[in-house]
Parts: sequence; structure tokens; C-alpha cells
Amino acid sequence: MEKLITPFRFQPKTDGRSLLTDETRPIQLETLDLDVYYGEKHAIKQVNLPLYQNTVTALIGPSGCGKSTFLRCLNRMNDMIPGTRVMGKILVEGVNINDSRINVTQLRRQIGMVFQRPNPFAKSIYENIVFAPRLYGISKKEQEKLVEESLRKTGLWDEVKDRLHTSALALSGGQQQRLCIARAIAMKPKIILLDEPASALDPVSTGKIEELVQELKNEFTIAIVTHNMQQAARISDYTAYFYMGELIEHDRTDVLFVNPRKKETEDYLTGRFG
Amino acid sequence: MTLVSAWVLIITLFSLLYFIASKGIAPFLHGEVTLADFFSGNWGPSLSAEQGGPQYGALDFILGSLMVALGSAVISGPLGIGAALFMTEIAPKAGRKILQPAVEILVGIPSVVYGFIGLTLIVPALRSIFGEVGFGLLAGIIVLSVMILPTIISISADAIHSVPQGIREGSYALGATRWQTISGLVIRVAQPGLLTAVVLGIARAFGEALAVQMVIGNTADLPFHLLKPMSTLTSVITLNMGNTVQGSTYNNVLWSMALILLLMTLILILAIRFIARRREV
Ligand SMILES: Nc1ncnc2c1ncn2[C@@H]1O[C@H](COP(=O)(O)OP(=O)(O)OP(=O)(O)O)[C@@H](O)[C@H]1O
Ligand SMILES: [Mg+2]
Repeated sequence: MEKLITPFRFQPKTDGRSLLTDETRPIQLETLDLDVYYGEKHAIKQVNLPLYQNTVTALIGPSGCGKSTFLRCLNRMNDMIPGTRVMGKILVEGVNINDSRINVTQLRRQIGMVFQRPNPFAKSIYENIVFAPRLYGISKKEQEKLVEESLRKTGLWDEVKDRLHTSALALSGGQQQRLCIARAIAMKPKIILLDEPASALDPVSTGKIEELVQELKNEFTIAIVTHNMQQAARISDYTAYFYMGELIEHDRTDVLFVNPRKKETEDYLTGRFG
Repeated sequence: MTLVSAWVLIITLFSLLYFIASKGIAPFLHGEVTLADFFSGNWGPSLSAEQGGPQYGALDFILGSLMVALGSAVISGPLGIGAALFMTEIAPKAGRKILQPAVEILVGIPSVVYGFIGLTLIVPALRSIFGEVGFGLLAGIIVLSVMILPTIISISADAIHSVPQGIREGSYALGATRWQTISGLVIRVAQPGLLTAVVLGIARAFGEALAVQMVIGNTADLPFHLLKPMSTLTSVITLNMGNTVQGSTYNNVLWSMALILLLMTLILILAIRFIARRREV
């Protein structure tokens, strides 16, 4: 992250319970003792969680356990909610991005986000994709290339190439969501955060999003919140189980789903919850 | 019960329309005044026949109404939309605590008070700054701008409020700044509502009589000089309606002017409907 201010360099923490000590992949992002308060409410409690490069990490847990809150810390979207305090460190390549000196708009270009409800802008498909890149200056030629490239990567190109200049709002929900993903990857981020990206979609569209996530991890590091256990098991390499703001267990997905170390995780996975 | 009140409303509306229209058309039907006369700039209702009168040309007033209404919209449109953006997007807390009550108070002040303030503060101020009489187009525009500002602010604020939060989040998540989000997306999405706000402001300015009449000078002149006295349809009607004989040509011509006002307002309301319908698409 060249352009971000670099106040300090931190040693990655290796003894936190959520770090997998046998993991050899490089860490793209990790949180150290992350705490989030909404006013009095303690929504995230001392969470240490790494995201490994070019992997998919699924965040699971019951409603209200803090998955979205955690995700929104990683690109500082919680800054916009008045009364929110985020404490602890979030390291990206050795830089603590949870620091007031960080240029947040630059940061968000490198850590993209896709929301639960597709939120295309009331503009054309083309304009949706070039909206943000254009803010940073991009030639007409580059724009066209970027649009095609982003749409191809999200599998939308063949579906919409004849109507690039028509309203994005006319697309189906699934197409809209893939457009939002295309819009995010057009910024060429390093990390993409997805907050229940398929929960508002039909099964076919959901399948397409899942496939897409699998492909995108070759290029990006991905964190995805999901309520769907099968989905987490199908598409993620790592799974983190949250409960009441705490990170209960974090492991390789194949391990966690077959052999959870904690009783709470097992109860949740088997539906013997609550 | 609601059906009854609906019928009462409809019947009232149509009898009002019928009444004004029948009175307003009368001078033309009887051939006392031709349409060409009416839409000319020759106003001289008390001129004798030897002097070529009486003349009933209302052009100066029609244009006068248009000029003060548009002039105040030119000032209050940007100002009101800016204030609405400030209180919704930039400082919602200060907006709720200070601007919102201020707007509500401004709405509640009767128009005679605005006129009075215009008469005692703005007209003398203009007189001392520019050395003219002070009464005139500019004074009218200033007073009306203040009067329609709260209308424009509150309708604009509603329009901006109704822009889905997801749009803003999506924009911020792409690394856009607040200003880029407002100028590139929020204003665009809210645009039909903002237009409606301005059109309603124009309609309000167009129909206002008392405050305008107190500051514009009330002479039958074309309204193309900011500092020269002039008249509007409403000011001419309110000033003369009581002094003319029922059923006289003069009196009926005032009704014709009222009809013009009504038609213009109808056109503005249709414009708002049209804008609102386009928004739904
Ligand atoms: N803006 C806010 N102000 C106050 N409390 C909040 C706010 N946002 C979330 N919370 C609370 O923080 C906790 C975590 O919320 P969060 O949205 O992160 O949960 P989640 O795991 O994403 O839930 P879901 O699965 O329903 O999306 C909840 O108890 C919620 O009520
Ligand atoms: Mg959530």
C-alpha cells in the first residue's frame, strides 16, 4: 500500500488463537485485538483473525453476532456510523489501517465491498463501472477496456454487451449483484469483502455468484459473510465462526466443518444451536 | 363520509373554475376587449374615449408575475437545495437542531410580515444603495426569495432523504469522497424531487399577492429593470378588485387576469405531475 501513510510497522502476531500456526500462506490482512463499540454496545470483542492471500474466508454465525460489523471495519465503512469506536489494529502489509492518518478513500480503493442488497447506481451499466475509476482520471480507451474486462471476469459480458448504455436498474437481481462485483473489481483492489452477496438472490443466481467467488480468489483475497452453511463449505478455504461478537473458532474450512475443535461451533453447525 | 367530503371538494373546485372562467371570458365574449388588447402593454382603464381609452392590456403584469417568480426561484433554488444538502448530507445533527426549526418558523410567518419587513428594511436599503426609489422588481424578488425558501428547502430535503442509503454506501465503498458521492450520485437520483421543489416554489411565488404588492411599487411598467417599480397580476387584482364596480368591464378584466393566474398555476402543477411520473419509471 504505497500511497497510504505508514506510521509504524508492526510484527504480525503469531500466537493469537485464531492464527493457524501451521499455515504457510502469506497473510493479506489481519486484525489484532479488534474491539468495536456502537455507543455502549460491545459488538466485536478482541478478535484476532487473518485473511490469507488469494483465499476465501467465510464468516459465519447467528444473526447479530457481528459479522457485518467485523467486515465493515476492514475497509473503514464503520467510520460513517456516528458513535462507533473501533479499537485494536488492522494490519495490511504491515500497515495499521485503523489509524486516523490513513487516507480512507485510498484504502477503500484497495479493499472493495459488495453489499447484501444489490445497489447499482441509477446510471447505465457502463457508467456504473467507470463511475469510480473516472474519479481518479482514466482515458476513454482505458474505460472501454476496463468495462469489458470487469464484465468478462464476472461473467456478465455476454449477457449485457449489447446494452452497456442502458440502465443498470433494468438488470435482474443476480445480474445487478454481479455488476456490483464488477464495479468493485474495476478498482483493482487487493481484497474484496462480500456481505451476504447472494442472500437476496434466486438459486441460479446464487450459484453464479458462488462460482464467481471461486474464480476471483485467484486474483483477490476474499472475505464473505454467509448464513448458508453449505455455501460456506462449498466456496471457502477458511471459516471463522463468530458468536456474540467473539471469534469462537477459525480454521481451514474442511477441518472446521468436519472436526470442529469447540463444542459451540459443533452445536451451531449441526443446528443444535440455542 | 369520506365520499361526501371528496364530492364537496370536487364540486367546490369545479364551481370555482367555472366561476372564474365565466367571469374571465366575459369581456372577450361581449367584444368589449379583444384578446390582442388584453395581451398588449397598454394599460389605461380610466382613460377617456378621446384619449383612446379605456385600455385593458395586461402584458406588463403577466410578465411582471413571471419575472418576480422566476427571479426568486433563481435565487432560492440553489440556496434552498444547498441548505437541504447541508442539513441532510453534511451536518444532519445541526440540520435537525437548527435548520429544521428555522424552516418551520419561516413557513409559519404570515406574508404580511414579510411584506412589512420588505417595506421597512429592504426598500430603504435598496434606495440608499442604488439611489432609486427602492420599490421594484429587485425588492419583490428578495422578499419572495425568502418566502419560498422554506418550501424549497423542505421538499428538497425530503427528496434527498429518499435517496436509498445503499447508493451512498456503494459509492463510499468504491473510494469516492462525500462530495463526489453527493455531486455524482445523490443529486442525480434526487433530481426529479429537487425540480419539483423549485417548481412548487415558483408556483408559490406566482400566487403571492400581499407581500409583493407592498414592495414592488405598483406601476404599469414592463418588469425589465431591477430597480424600477412594476406590477404583477396578483398586485393589480388585490389593489383594484374592491374599487371597481361588479360586472363592469374593468372588473371583468381583473377576472381575466385571475383566470390567467389560475391557468399558469395549473400548468406548473401539471409540470410537477409530469416530473413525478417520470421519477417512477
Ligand atoms: N449502527 C448500529 N448501532 C448500534 N448497534 C448496532 C449497529 N449496527 C449493528 N449493531 C448491533 O451490533 C451487533 C452486530 O451486528 P451485525 O450487523 O454486525 O451482525 P451480523 O452478524 O451481521 O448479523 P446479520 O447476520 O443479521 O447480518 C448486533 O447486536 C446489532 O444489533
Ligand atoms: Mg450482517
